[in-house]
Amino acid sequence: MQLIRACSVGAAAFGCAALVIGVAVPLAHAADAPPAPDTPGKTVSPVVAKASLDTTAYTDTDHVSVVTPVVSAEVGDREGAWKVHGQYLVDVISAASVDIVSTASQRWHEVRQAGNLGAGYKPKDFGADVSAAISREPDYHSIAGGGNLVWDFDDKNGTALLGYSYDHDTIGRTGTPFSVYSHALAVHTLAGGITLTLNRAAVLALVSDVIIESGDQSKPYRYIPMFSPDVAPTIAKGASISVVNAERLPDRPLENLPDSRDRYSLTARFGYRFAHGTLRADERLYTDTWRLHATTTELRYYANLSRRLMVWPLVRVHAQNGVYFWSRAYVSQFGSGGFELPTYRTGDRELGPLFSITGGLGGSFGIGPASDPSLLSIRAQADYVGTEFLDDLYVKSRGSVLGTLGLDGVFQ
Amino acid sequence: MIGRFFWGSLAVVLVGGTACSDPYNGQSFTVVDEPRLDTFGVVVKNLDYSCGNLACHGAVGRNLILFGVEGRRLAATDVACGRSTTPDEILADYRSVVGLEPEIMSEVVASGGKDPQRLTLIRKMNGTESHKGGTVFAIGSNGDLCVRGWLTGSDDPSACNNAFNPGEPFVACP
Repeated sequence: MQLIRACSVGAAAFGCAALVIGVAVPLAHAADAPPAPDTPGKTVSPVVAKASLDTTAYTDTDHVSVVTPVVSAEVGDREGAWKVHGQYLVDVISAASVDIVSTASQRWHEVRQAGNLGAGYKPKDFGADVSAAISREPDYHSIAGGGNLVWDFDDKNGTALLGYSYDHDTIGRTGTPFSVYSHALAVHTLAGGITLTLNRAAVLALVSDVIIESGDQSKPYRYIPMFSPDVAPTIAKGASISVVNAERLPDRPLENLPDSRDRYSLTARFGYRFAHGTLRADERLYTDTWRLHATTTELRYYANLSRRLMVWPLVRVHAQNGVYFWSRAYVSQFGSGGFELPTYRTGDRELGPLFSITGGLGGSFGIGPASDPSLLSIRAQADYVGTEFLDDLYVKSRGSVLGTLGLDGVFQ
Repeated sequence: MIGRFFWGSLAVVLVGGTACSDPYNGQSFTVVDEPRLDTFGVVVKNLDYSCGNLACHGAVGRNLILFGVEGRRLAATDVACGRSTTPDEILADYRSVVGLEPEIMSEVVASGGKDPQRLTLIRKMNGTESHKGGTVFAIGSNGDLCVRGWLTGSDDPSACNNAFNPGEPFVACP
């Protein structure tokens, strides 16, 4: 049902392009912990392997649930000169959201599979990496590839990055061959960033993403209720399914979005290392040619409570306006002048004005050997997201819970 | 000072970002090339009979909703299997059918009915696209020719009048 793309760069939360190119504040995360100190007289393998198993579960008050098992692996040399990595995941989705119920349809279930492979080489100050990703679900195929260039300067106190990726999506309908019905979406992503070590404790990263989308990304299941000019203003925010069905006109056209969209974002990430923890502050500003403007602010603190235990509380605030063609109640008219409808119309709440607050808590507990407990660790994270939809049909708010349980191992 | 600037700026961004959108200020699309309304009555008779029962496209939430004697009635005073489909119901059905994919409908009509399978209506009706009600009018059947003929602008209703023959039984939605 096309709920999840391979790499969502939507308005919610942080765009993944910034994360893909790997601008990260050095954090005392278990998986990124420095290798164990060499033992005198003992030969240390030049190769380090990491693996993790995760299961993520999502559920919300709109009757959507997703369970996602993920397996990831990475092999590289101890100095970080080269690495190869891969990931495979399965999304098991079950949904009976208000958008489905409002069209007299029943709960549906779907499985999505996705995987990616990548490799990087950075012998000295210059480096490069490439990656490829593929995602398959019955009505949505996605294939992507990209690469990044990395340059360390000023004695590695600064790092510059430049990345590009291309994503080709094929959008169809479940049960219908793509040859019968489908449309394509092409996404070019250009990312540039710089990471500066400000002093022994502080790091600042700035990343800018430019994302060019072309193609029809309208959802093939989403039909938009129309109202007469005198009824539309009476349709209240959060109007129920029965009210909408009673008041709407017979015409309910397919969603129609503009065929191109240019997105721009700027993310600043500041990290500060304290004696027993690391503070990370992110701010992302976003705008696009559909005139959606958004801000996302996140604060999290990685607290090292002991050699084995680290926790990270977080809070995130996101706010956005609606796209320029957003309307809670679209108007169509039929008369002597013809049948007139809005050219662009959508029911996608992620394109409407909204406000969300996320609170979460994560933790990692090292169960590895006493010499380096982080070599094997259990990781857990739980986030609650409260979203207020400010100008929508059917719902005014949504609460969702996202939980992850994972196991990370480092082998050397 | 810096703190006040930061929080002040954040407040401005948040308030600006959460302001409700104005009413729709995008462009409007007019279906310039509309299929004929005057010949639609005989077409919709077939659609109403084959698709319009209350469990299917007569259900209130359907994207393609149909009104008529076989199922949902537009006026509260009318009942299923009562008086014939009214002119208001024919107009409502016309808006429903044309308004489903208005841009593509306009293109198909402008091209004289060429490649009507561009329309979801035709694909689902023919069974070439997944459809809960299955194949309603097989390609080449009278029902199929009736709808396709309407899209070409033809005013020959013979196919429509002969759509219900023993080989084309009533198709009920599950």
